[in-house]
Amino acid sequence: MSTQHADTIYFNGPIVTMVDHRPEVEAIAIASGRILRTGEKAYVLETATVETLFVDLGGNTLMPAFIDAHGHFMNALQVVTWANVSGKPVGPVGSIADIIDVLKAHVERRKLGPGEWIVGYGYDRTTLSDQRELTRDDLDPHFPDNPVMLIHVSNHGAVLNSAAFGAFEIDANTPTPAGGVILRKPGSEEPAGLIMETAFLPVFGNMPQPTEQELLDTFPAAQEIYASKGITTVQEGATHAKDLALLRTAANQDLLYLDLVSLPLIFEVPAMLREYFPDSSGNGTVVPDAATEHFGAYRNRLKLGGVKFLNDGSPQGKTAFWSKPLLTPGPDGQQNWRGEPTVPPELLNKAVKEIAGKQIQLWCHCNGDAAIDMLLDAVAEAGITASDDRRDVVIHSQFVRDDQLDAYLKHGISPSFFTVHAFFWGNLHIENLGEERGSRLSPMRSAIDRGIRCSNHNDFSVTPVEPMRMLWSAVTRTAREGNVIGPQERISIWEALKAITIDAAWQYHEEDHKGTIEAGKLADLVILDKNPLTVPNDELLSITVMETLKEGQTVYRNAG
Amino acid sequence: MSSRESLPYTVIGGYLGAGKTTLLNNLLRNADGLRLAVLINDFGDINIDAELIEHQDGETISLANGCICCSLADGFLLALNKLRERADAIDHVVVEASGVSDPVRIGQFGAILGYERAGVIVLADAADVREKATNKYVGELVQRQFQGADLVVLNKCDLVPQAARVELLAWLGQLAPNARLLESSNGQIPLDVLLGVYRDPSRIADDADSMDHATAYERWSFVSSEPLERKRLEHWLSELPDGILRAKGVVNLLDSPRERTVLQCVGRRCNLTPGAAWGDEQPATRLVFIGARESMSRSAFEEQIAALTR
Repeated sequence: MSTQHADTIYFNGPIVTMVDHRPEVEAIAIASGRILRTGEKAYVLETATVETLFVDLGGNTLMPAFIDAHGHFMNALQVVTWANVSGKPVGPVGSIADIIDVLKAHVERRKLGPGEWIVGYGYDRTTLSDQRELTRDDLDPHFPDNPVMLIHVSNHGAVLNSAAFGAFEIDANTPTPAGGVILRKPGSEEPAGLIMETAFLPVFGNMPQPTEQELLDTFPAAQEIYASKGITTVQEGATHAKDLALLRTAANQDLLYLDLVSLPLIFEVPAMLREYFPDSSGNGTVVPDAATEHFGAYRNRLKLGGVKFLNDGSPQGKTAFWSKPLLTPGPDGQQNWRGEPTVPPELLNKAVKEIAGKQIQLWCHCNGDAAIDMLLDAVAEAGITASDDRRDVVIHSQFVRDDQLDAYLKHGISPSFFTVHAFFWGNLHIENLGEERGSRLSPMRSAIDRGIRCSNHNDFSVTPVEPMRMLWSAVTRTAREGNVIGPQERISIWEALKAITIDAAWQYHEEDHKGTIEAGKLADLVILDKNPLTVPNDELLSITVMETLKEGQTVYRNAG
Repeated sequence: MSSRESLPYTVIGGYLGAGKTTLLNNLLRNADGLRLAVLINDFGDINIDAELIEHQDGETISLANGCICCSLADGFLLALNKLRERADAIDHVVVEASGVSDPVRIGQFGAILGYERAGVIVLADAADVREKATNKYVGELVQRQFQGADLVVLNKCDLVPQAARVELLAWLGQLAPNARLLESSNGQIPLDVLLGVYRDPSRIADDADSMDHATAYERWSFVSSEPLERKRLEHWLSELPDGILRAKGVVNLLDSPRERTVLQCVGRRCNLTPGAAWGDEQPATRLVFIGARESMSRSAFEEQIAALTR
């Protein structure tokens, strides 16, 4: 057997393989985009030739690139063209002056001319040292010729400047709609800047939309959001028919340099089937066999991973679905509120049976335990068992009970958890659900102890793309306020790393190609300036990505 | 909105299987000249004869009878927003609320976008609504849906014996104390009950004794040139018999002699709103009430309403 020749050899730094029985090696060799050999330096060097590139890690850590287990890539296309006016740590803002600076830099970077929209996201008055709302009077002197819209962190409102109010014809004569907010200047009816809820909806719905070409142009920068954090496999976790068309266009134009897994939304499947399989005689609820082969394989770096189901809403928004009521009132002040399902159980059962029967993987968003109960009923009725090795995923699985974890094992279900919730909303969950239920969010310890493989995700853009924060939250479960949320559910750093590498790959049925550094697998790699396995927990947050490689090619290099 | 007054907007709600799709199919087939825009969750549900379809593109199906059918797949707000562009070609918008949504909320969205709320109608499947109302997943939701309704339709009545229907109506009446109730067997409900009286009120004198013997509904009309007193009218309206489902027309009010006052009632909700000036036209009250047959005796009706003018 002839030895292949290495294109590149890495050495002189911790090389973390993510392989349980052999967690670290001294050197690795890459050839034609794949790992050629790993092990002791001398052994690896056997594959070297005069053409081989030698990379001295200089003490930096090399490990498998991270895998995005759940998020919304379509949001990245949007965010790339928007300014981040979020408070720390999500953004750089601590005051109104910071907002102005961010927007000025944004205008310059994107070379925006007069009349062009300046859109920002993450605006939140509680992050401002000025301790008041931003108003049009703060924005107008700096942006007299551009409509400015800074979307509120809740996504339910925005602050507008005069040019934006003008564009939407909102003025002192505009009445405040029922259920909405238009902040007025003191002693006057003139809108001050902030509009919320029903006042915001028509504005947001009527924003100028980018053209297809403009969207395609954002693909490189959108992928950089992930590549710059060491991620080489990205998810678009709630794909509408229109989005899929755009993604396919981008893939066919070779605009993808990372792997992208799309999960078409179940509600959109009938429309997609009508478009792509117009000859099939089904009425949209039956998936033709020809459709099945489109799932599970990459074409130009785009893969359909399965079908996305949505059983409930968000716990922090009180639209998740629990079996027992909250301690606090519902979103409209309802007493004994436990949320609601977003789909009738009859339809869920039918759809699960149909999709599973066609050998397509299920990815089901469930936050509350009642939403999980509904899914388990559907899965049981469809006759799915662990021996099928389908690896159906419950996305978030935030408030899963122990008996439900047992059921996951029985049906071969794998959760994708969301531990950064402990940081961002941990205390809110305890307030709403009480200590026992609230602190048990994303119970990774309980799941792993039962032998359940699970991943961890950021759900971009609900939270920013930050693998290090995911690691940190899984091992410390510390809230923003400093207390620990359910310390008994903390896991080890090794387990936390597996959840964003090999176990995430396993959920995608790609564990043969990704997730560890082993001969034969893709050279999807990340170089970090520190070793997550050895730094103190709090230092995890300051680990920086130095370089990211996709199949041996550099897709991100830290300029600093 | 457009150059005319806001488009009326009706929400059809009710849990899965209550009969929304059948009702909407009936509506589209029997629109009787009304140009309806029907918004539904998925085109797959709608069963329109191919010969009725004039044109179809992605999200909209245009029918030969002037109606259009729009998909809600892209979201509700977007669909409603888009409809405003075609407002001149539409008489009435009907929205299907999905089986797990809150029909009242959907009604509110319409109002925000400038549509005029013509009614929130929630269907119940007589054969299984009680069972659904105790389902561990959707029970609370099913009960909540009735609360904000103007009209509650007990549908598929033919599947259930009389005694059970009486009980169901009583139970629904408790769940929805602000609604009026009616029975139906296959979603066949007259257009004017479902959507509001649409015949031109100025022709009411011609329809004075209109009673459609073939259906379970009856109409009562009133015409007078004597002005009515507002408070007494409002009081009388609030005491109308349970069977009265709809009312519409124009009132000549004592306290607003120069302009019309428009009356719209759906279920128990009655609104009196200022209308156009009388101008040169002789002020007159013209009203039509629709309800289940024999909800009101004609003589009682005529007596009571005539008393409002004195």
